[in-house]
Amino acid sequence: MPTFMGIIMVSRMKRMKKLLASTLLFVLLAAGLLTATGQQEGIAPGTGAGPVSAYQPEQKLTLVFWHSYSGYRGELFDSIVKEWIRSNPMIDIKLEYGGSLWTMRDKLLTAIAGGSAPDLAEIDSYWTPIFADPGSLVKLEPYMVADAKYNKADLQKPSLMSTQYLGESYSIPFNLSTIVLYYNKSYYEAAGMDKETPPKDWDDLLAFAKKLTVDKNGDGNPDQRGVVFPLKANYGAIWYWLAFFWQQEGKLFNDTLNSGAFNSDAGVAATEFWKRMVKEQVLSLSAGFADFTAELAAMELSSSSVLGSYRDNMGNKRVGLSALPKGKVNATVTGGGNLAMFSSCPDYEAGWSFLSWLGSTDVNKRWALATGAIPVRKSVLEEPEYKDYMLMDPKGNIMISTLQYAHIRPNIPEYGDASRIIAVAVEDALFNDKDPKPLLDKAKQEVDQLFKQ
Amino acid sequence: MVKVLKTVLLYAVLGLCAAIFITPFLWMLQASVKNTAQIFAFPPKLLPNPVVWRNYIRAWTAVPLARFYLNSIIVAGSVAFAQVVTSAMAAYVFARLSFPFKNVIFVFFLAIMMIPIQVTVIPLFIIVKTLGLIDSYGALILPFLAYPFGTFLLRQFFLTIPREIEDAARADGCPRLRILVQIIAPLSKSALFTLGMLAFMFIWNSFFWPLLVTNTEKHFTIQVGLAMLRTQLIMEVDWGLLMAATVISILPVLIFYMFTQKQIIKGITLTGLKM
Repeated sequence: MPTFMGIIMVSRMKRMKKLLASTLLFVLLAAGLLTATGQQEGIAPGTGAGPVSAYQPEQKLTLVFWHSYSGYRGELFDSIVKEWIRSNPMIDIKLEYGGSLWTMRDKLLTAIAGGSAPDLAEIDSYWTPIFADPGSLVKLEPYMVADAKYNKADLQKPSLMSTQYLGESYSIPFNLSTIVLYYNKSYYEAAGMDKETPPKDWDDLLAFAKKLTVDKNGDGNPDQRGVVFPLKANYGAIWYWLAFFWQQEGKLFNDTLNSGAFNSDAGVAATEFWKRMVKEQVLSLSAGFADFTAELAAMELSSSSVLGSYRDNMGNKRVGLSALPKGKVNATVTGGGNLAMFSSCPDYEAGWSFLSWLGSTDVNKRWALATGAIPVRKSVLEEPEYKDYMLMDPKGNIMISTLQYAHIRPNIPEYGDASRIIAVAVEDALFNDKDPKPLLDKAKQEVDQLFKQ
Repeated sequence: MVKVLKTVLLYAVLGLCAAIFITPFLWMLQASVKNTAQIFAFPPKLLPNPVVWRNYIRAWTAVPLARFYLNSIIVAGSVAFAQVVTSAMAAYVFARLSFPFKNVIFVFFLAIMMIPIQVTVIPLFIIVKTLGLIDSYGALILPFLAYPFGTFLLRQFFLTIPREIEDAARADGCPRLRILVQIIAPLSKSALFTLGMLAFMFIWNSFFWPLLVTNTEKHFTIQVGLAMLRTQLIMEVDWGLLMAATVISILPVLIFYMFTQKQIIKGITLTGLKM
């Protein structure tokens, strides 16, 4: 039986709830309306005349281009493409955000199956075989060879190799990165180490990491770890494992590319080294991916392209960069993005005009300077602005020097699935403290099945 | 004495469950006013210091969040309304009318729900493309105008309404549709609200389908928009910003629930629905 007070309280609560809800909504929408009109500044355009295409179609053409750039990269990309659009009224480019590279692959595959693929797209550097194999991509090799201005010989070797399927290029390079070592110079100083001397080999890496693993509050658990990088298959651990694997001169597949060969001594050695780092507590199984910027880890293996954001977050003086420590040999792994044209594109010449301009020295130089990506062309290194940039900061030189021993991920359609099988086996050995050899053997059998299909 | 103990135990268990369910939301709230380094600090500090309110301002400009919001409201609202209407009509037929093979048809109806989305997504995409609806509201709304779940839910509910209520109207020659709208529907408000709420939430949260069928920012829904803040390189993600944008994105559902809470709870208890 509701009492008089009860009724008052219930209706008061109801009014309060409505008031709270309305206020919340109003505040947030007001913030939205007030700021939604604010625009962020674009990036300064390049010098020189606009890029006028040598090939002009007879009728106005609109080509759809899918990309994965959002945030500041998205704005930069947008402003670069706008220059083309202004100079080429006959070849209009419609930029569409296709999702991040994680989701764009599904979107592309669905679109191709459904007959509504874009005309051009930015793709991850190891996707070329996946789309070239079923014939969805236009073979760009003849265009690269016929177009003297493109200058195929100018491309950095790992970039060129990433575009090839069965020996011929089906995409062109746009973006390049390698795995490098970042280290926190303040932590080096605090541990009494020379902040200009990063680890040069695996023994150094382990020894330095031990000195940099510190239990700050005396509870028996280290609060600062020596080194961090992704260890789980779902977070792309395979990319990092490949660096250690190739440093032991491992080979992923046999020469005829129909069976796995990663369960060799090299595979075991790479996995065992990871296990050792965990056992010595310099590498934590429960590390997060922001540990380096949160200053919970002193060293990190990561992509060269995050240098910009690390500089912003931690300051250039505190962040050190070096090539990866050497195993038996030097090796690192490439990442990056390429540009591709789909077979459904209505005008291949126009598409090539645009793509080759995006991959030209001038555009690549501006992109590399603004985003910290490694230039895909050797000629960019000779440009005065880029030379100045490298003088300002030796880190640029170091990143480029890693290219000489950078490996690309194998350009076969089975690589994607095979890499996941290997990563899961490594994760199992690491997290469940198991012997890597039998797990890698079993993974090899699974991978062999992939090839048989 | 035993009664007091039972009540205390009950509240303790409920309190524990509530705490478990609310913890992720509380984490999201406190992360939304921190910067990345603070979020991942270890040992974890609960209270933000300093409080970064800027994340909420930036959330609106980092991506066109206002446009995405509008799109999601339009799409989710339309689908919720349409599903309530179509499900009520179908549910009434299955509950009240009799025709040959009724039960068999009903079972097939439900079986539709068991087909995995991976099987239907490409044919559906082809249909949408053939109709010329790629990158439009049509692609986001039309495939979801009807769905068997609502029919099932409402049929169960309508079966609990005594037939006698309609007999008087039927004797007077009232058409079935009018009975549905003027007699059954007002009695089923809570079930209809529940269905609308569920359909709204489902479409509000859907990511994969909008990602597939929309290409331009003009038509992105809010989940696709949030995904734009998940940059390629996981180390570059601004988690505080992402959390702020996420808080903003769950607000409509939260507020809608706050207003219709009573109806929904009544609906759940009346239909005996376990969610």
